[in-house]
Amino acid sequence: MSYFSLQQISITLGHFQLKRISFSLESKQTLVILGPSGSGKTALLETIAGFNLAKEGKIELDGEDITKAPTEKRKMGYVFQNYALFPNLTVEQNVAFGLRQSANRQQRTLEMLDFLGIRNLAKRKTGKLSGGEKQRVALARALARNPKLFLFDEPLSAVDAAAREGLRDELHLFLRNLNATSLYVTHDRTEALVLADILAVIKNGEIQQIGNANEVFTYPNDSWVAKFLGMQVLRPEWVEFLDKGHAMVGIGGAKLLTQVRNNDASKWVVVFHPDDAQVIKHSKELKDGSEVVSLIIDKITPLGPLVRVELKGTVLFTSLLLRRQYSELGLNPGDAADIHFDAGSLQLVPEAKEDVSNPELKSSQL
Amino acid sequence: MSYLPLVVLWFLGGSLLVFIVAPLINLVARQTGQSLGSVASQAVVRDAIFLSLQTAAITTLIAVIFGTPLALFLARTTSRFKGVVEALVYLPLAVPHTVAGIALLLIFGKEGLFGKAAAPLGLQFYGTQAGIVIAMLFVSVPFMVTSARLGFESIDPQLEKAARTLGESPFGVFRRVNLPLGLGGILTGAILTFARSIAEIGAVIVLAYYPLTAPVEIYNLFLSFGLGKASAMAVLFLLVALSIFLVVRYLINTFLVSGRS
Repeated sequence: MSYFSLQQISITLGHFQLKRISFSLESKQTLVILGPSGSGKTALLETIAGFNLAKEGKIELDGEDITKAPTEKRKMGYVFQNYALFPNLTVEQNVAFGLRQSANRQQRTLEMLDFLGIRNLAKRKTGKLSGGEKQRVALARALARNPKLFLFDEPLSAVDAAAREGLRDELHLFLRNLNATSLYVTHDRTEALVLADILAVIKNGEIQQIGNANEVFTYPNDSWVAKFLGMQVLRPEWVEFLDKGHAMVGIGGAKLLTQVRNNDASKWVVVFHPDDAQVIKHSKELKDGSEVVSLIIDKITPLGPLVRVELKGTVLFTSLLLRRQYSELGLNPGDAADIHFDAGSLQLVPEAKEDVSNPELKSSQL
Repeated sequence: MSYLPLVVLWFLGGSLLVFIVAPLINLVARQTGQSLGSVASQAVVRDAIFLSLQTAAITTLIAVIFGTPLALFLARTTSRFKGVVEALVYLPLAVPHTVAGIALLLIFGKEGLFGKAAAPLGLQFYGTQAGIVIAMLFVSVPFMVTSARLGFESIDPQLEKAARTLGESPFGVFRRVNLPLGLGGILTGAILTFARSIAEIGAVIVLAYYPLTAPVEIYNLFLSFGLGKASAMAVLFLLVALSIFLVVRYLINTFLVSGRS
């Protein structure tokens, strides 16, 4: 039996619905729920916290059915967007807020202030704290009650980009040091991949894919998940299935080997992470059926230490090159260039419903 | 850049200020220490002023107790009946106060529904202090609810949720989050309610002409003795009410509102 589980949770909030959400989490694991704005991440977290009561399904935490339990009885520590610190209270009072009925309130508060390294801020009001200080106060406040599960609602979304990386690493360290079990929602895939043991991708109130974070990142279920994880998508001209788990595809005259995990689809796309594809100088000796795709450089945009190169031809392709790499290649708009894919990096996945166009499939292959 | 539009705006705003202040300054300036002393020495005048302060204070207390929960409801509800409740709260602002007095008399009077129900408890409204409070409450309660509501609306709803996750029941959230953070709005509402109550005459005169409140007594003096005595008592009442108003405001700003921000 899992430490925390959601079983077929459905809830309607106005026009929005969470649909049959199920997953489980073991103790000391971090599950990150990744999805775009309006996908239902926060609604899901609030349902788990008890702000919305699920009419269908079951929520269990540490062997206890908490589906109908009020928020204050759920033993969860919630870290909000913008941290939701009480502006009328000092840092110390914020941390002590949830310890009203605790016999060792004072001692526990000081322990938390020390643990998060904010004892020096104890008497300060929260309004003028930096983003990092606020995060530590919010963590100390949630941790003080010794929750069974931490819930994080995009705590870094309001922080400026410069501070975000540091805060994310600090949060990662906090969760690891504490061996905390936590649920974290975000729309930022980097944040998700740094923090997640388990990664769930959500869209329109439905979980699209859930699994080991590395597994989901490498093998997306479909083109929507792939694109949301930052992968590039190419539409093959034809698809030829080989043995179980592999298919050959035709793209821009090239013949490329792809991995296939899900055979159950009628429309296919090839997806890959941008760093698995290299732009190389065009070789005139290439023939149809080689393992590289030849394209024409359409646009070059310098982005500080990187250079974005956009190529067009039978497919559209964008690559980010290091500035030095770009100089060595000596590329110019209008030049021909070849794309070389790392072995085993291409995945053939079903095309998600909202994506259009259908590759021409070789009739003998399906 | 032309400053003309700015000058016009300043002129319009300034004119309104003059319109508000000039009659009051003129009223005060016409009085002498002797005229004020003369009215202050009369027990009926002192009693009327004291009664006004007392009933306005009781009204304010009742408005705070009953108006605060209603304000919180209006600030947080997404119910489709919200608009109806809002309209009902604002209704007293649109009703002429004498009309309000008649309506109150019909229901709180000896033969009225509430009047009859309260009689066995020894509570009468017609011609009593309780009647004055009822009349004051009816006309001033929109100020209380509106101000408190604005105070509650300024509280980030995430703070309420945070308190729930920290072990507070809905009432605990009200007590530990809404009340302290909405205190500014509640106190502003209380001050406005007090100010509106103390000035009320239209509804009071219908439901409880006696015992005499200060505005009713000023009106009596005006009818019986003309402007001289009436204006002396008016200034005396104005100075007392204004002093209390300023002291309370100062205390609130010093010890409660600014201390919490």
